Amino acid sequence: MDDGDRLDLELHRRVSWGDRGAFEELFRRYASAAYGLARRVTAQETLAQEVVQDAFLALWRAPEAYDPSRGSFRSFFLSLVHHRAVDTVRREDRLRKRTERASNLEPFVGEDVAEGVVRDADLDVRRKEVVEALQTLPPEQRQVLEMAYFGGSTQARIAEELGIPIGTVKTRTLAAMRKLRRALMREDEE
Amino acid sequence: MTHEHERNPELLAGYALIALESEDAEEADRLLSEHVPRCVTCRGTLADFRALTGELALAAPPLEPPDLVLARVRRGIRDVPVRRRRGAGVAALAASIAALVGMAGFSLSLGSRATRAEADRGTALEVLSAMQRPGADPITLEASSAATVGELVEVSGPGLEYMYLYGNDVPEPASGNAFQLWLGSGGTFTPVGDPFMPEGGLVLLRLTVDPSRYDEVLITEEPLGVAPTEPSTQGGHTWRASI
Repeated sequence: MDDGDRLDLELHRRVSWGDRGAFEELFRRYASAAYGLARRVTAQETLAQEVVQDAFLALWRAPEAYDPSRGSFRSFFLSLVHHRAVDTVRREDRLRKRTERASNLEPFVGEDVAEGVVRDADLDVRRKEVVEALQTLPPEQRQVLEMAYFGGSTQARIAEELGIPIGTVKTRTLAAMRKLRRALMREDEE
Repeated sequence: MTHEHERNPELLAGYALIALESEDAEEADRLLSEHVPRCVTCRGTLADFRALTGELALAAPPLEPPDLVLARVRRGIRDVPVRRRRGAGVAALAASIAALVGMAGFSLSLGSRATRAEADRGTALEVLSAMQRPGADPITLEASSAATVGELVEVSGPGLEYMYLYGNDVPEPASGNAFQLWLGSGGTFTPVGDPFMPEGGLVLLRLTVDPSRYDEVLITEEPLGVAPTEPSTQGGHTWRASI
């Protein structure tokens, strides 16, 4: 657990008491990551705003949904944002449009973060690690992972889009997840 | 390890990515309900994959949301305060007040004021009546530690002349300490009323204060004989709630 994780735990504990100041600090730490993710998945400004808003309100309403024994707050909260973003995309029936774009997604390599974004050092370090880990994946594995995660596509749709068997999509996805796990969750390997 | 078991990580990876549909989704549901709870390996795999889906979010370039998002969130948390439990807990406390009022010769603490049983009985009746009025807003305060027992409820609302605090099974503060009620606004707290001690676990405060000016209620332990200017951070029993 690093200093950022410890800070998040303390802020979450205070949010559980109804501390609005702690809630705003969590918003400051995670709003840009959440909005960046939501924009990437929904490809739509208004929907992305709704996703971020709903995710933070869900945290306020039910802070107990995060169980510290199950991992970092960061992972919990950004997973929540991801789920809501994917649900929103599918609900809005924009999946086909997104999938078309997702299959042509540029890799994240070399992509710069937006100017003026409030950034925390610990999140920047972790972001760098995640981007580097993604870069180590073979292109065909990274492609299916990004289509699923950032494109919100199902494995069946990815298979259809790429013209490959769904079994291949599953195999590539699992291989990608295992490699990322080895790269990013070193402390859990032993 | 069976052939079927070897297939599980593929399903769990797809599940964590929310990328399954039709038969795969049904199979994953079965796996999660029937096998994963009993399998340490699969539980660990699923936990890791779920954690990864949170970390992957960081690969998306961060973007500052428009100011209106924070404004909407602020409005939303004002409308839906956290930790408001008006269900069984409040109902149980209302029942305990009713039982208390029915007892002969009971004695309650009313702040630091010397009280008579009949005066306290009257105040307890007021609380019970206030809790049942339309628009009344009973809020259970949350203890800061699982080790702190007892329940405290703040009652206020439109049309109520007073704000009430009722506590049941409230523990004694540490020797030399008393409890202090604070009302907070924007993170700044003001002491309200005199320090108080529970009597036999019971607390009953009636306060002439307009709670609409505040957004938090806090109870802390403070040293007796010293007028506190801000809530102690020295530990002890503490309760808190948004109002």
